[in-house]
Amino acid sequence: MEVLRAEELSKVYRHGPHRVNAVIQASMTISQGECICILGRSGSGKTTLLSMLGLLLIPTSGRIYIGEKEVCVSAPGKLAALRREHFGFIFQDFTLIPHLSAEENVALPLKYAGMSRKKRQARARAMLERVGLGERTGFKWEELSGGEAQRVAIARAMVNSPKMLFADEPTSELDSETSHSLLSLLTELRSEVGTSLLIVSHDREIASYATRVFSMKDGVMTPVPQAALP
Amino acid sequence: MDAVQDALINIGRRKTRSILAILGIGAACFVLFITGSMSEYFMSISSHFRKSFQGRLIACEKKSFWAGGGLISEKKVPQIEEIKGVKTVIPILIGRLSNEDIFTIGVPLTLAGVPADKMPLYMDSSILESGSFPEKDDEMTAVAGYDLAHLQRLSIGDHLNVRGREFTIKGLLKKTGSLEDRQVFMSLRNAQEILLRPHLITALIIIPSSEREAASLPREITEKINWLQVITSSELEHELESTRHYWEILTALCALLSGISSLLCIAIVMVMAVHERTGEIGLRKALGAEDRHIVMELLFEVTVLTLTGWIAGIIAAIIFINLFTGAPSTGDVMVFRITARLIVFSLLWSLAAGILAGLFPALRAASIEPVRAMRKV
Repeated sequence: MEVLRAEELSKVYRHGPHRVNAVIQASMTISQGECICILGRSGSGKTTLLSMLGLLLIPTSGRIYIGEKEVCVSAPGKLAALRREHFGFIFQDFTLIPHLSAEENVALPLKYAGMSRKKRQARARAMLERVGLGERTGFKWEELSGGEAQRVAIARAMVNSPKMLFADEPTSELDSETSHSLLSLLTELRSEVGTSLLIVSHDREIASYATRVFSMKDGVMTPVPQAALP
Repeated sequence: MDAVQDALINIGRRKTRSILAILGIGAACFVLFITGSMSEYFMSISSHFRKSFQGRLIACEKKSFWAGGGLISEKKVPQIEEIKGVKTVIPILIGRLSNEDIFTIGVPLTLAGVPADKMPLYMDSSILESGSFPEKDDEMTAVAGYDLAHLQRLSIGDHLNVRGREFTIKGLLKKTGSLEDRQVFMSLRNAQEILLRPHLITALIIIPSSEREAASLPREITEKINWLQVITSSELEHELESTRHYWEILTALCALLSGISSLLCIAIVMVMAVHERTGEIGLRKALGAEDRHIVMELLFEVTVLTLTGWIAGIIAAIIFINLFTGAPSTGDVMVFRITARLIVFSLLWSLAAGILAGLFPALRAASIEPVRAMRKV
C-alpha cells in the first residue's frame, strides 16, 4: 500500500542573483513498511529532500501525495496537522527541548493532537519503556547520554504511531556500537507498527538496514542497485 | 492547565527578565491606579455635590468659595429671607475638626454647623444609616460621616471629642463618596461655640420658592447685599465640569503612558523570547504544533506576565494608599477612591496593552518555517 508519493520535487534557493538547485525533480513512491535510505555527502540536497517529503519545507515545484490525496503545499497552516497525523521525525543532533523531561518531550506530538494530559503521559511512559528508558522518564536532555537522547527522539517520533518516519542523520553523533543498537531498535519498531522509514545519511553502513537505497549528488537522486552496496 | 504550566515554565526560565517586565508593568499599573483612584474620588465628590445642590443657590462672601472664605454675620439671614422668591435660607459654618495646624493634601476632617431644625433640609434623611439628626433642643449631639465614624470607631451613643468638647453621636451617615464622609454635623450654635465664631457663618444655602425664581434670584440678592456672591447650581456644575475634565485628561494621559510602558516591557521581553526560542518553536512546529498553538502559547505567557504585573501594581497602590491615608503627616486625608470600575478598567487596559504587544512577536514566531527555525536549536 502506497504511503507517500513525490512527483518531480524541486527546490531552488535564491541568494541575491544566485540560484542554487538543492533538489532537482526528485520522484519516489514509498510503500507501507518499507525502509528507504538516501545516501549522499554533506550539501548533496538529501536533508532538503527529506524536509520537503516531511512537509517541513515548501518545494519550489512538484507534487506530494499522502495515500491517494495530494497535499496542498501552498497552505502551510494545514501542513502541521498533516505532519502530526501521518509523520514522525528524528533529527540530526537529537533535537530535544532542553527544559522538558524525556517524558514531556515524547508527549509533545500528542499534546498538539489534543490528547488529555493523563493519556499522553501514560503513552509517553509506555513508549519510553519500549525504547529501554523506563527509568529515565524525568531526565532532561543534559542528563541523558547521546544514545539515550536519540532513543528519546525515536520514542517521540513513534509515539503517535506514524505512517511514515523520517530520520535525518540519526547516528551522526553516535559511536558505531550505539548506532547499530539504535538502527536495530528502529527496525524493530518499524516492523511492529508497520511504519515506513526514510533515512538520509552519509554513512553507507546504514544502507544495510534499507529495503531500497538512493544516492544523492548535486540535488539529483538516483536509485542504487543492491549489488552496489557494501 | 497545560497552558498555565508552559507559561510558568517559560517565565521561570528567564527569571531576571520576567521579573523586570513584571516590575515595569506593575509600575505602570501603580501610576494608573493611583491617578485613577484620585480621579474617581473627585468624580464622586463632584457628582454628590451636583445632586446635593440641584436647584439651590450658594451664597458666600465675595472672592471666597464655600467654607474657604470670609465670615458672614448670622444677622444677615433674615435680610435674605425677606427677598421675594426665597423660600428658606440655611446658614452653615464649616471649620476644621482639629485646631492643630496639620498639613493636608486632600479632604480634611471638618465639622459643619447647621441649625438643627434645618438639618433635614440641608441633608436628605435617606443619607442616615442609623440614628437621627440632632433636634432643636438637643445639646452637644452630632451626626458623624461614614469615614470619620470608621476612623474613630464611632457608634450611636458614643462620645466624640471635638476641640476639647464631648459630643454624643446621635446619627451615623451612609457612605456618600463625598465631603460628608469626613464631616461631623452639629447644631450651628454648638459649632459657633467650638470654633469661637459667635453669630458667624461661612456660607448660606438658599432654597428658592420655585425654579423660575432661581434664575433671577442671584441678581436680586447681590443688588441688595453687594458684598455677597451667589453661585447657582448651574454655575457650580460648570465649575465642577471643568475640574472633572482636568482629571479625565490627567487619567487618560496616565493610562496612555502606562499602556505604552506596559507595551514596551512586554514587547521587549517577547521579541527576545521569540528570538531565543526560534529553534524550539521550529521543532514544536515540526512535531505538529499549528500556528494557533504557537500564538496561544506565547499569548498565554504574555497574559500571565501582564496579570502578575497588574496584581503587583494594584497591591503596591493599595499599600501606598493605605500608608498615605493613615500617615500622621497627612492628617488622615482621603483623596483616593478604589472602585470596581477602576479595577476592571486597569485590568482590561493592562491586558489589552500586553496582548497587543505580544501579538506581533507571537505571529512572527508562528510564521517561522520549521526547517529554517530548527537550524537555531
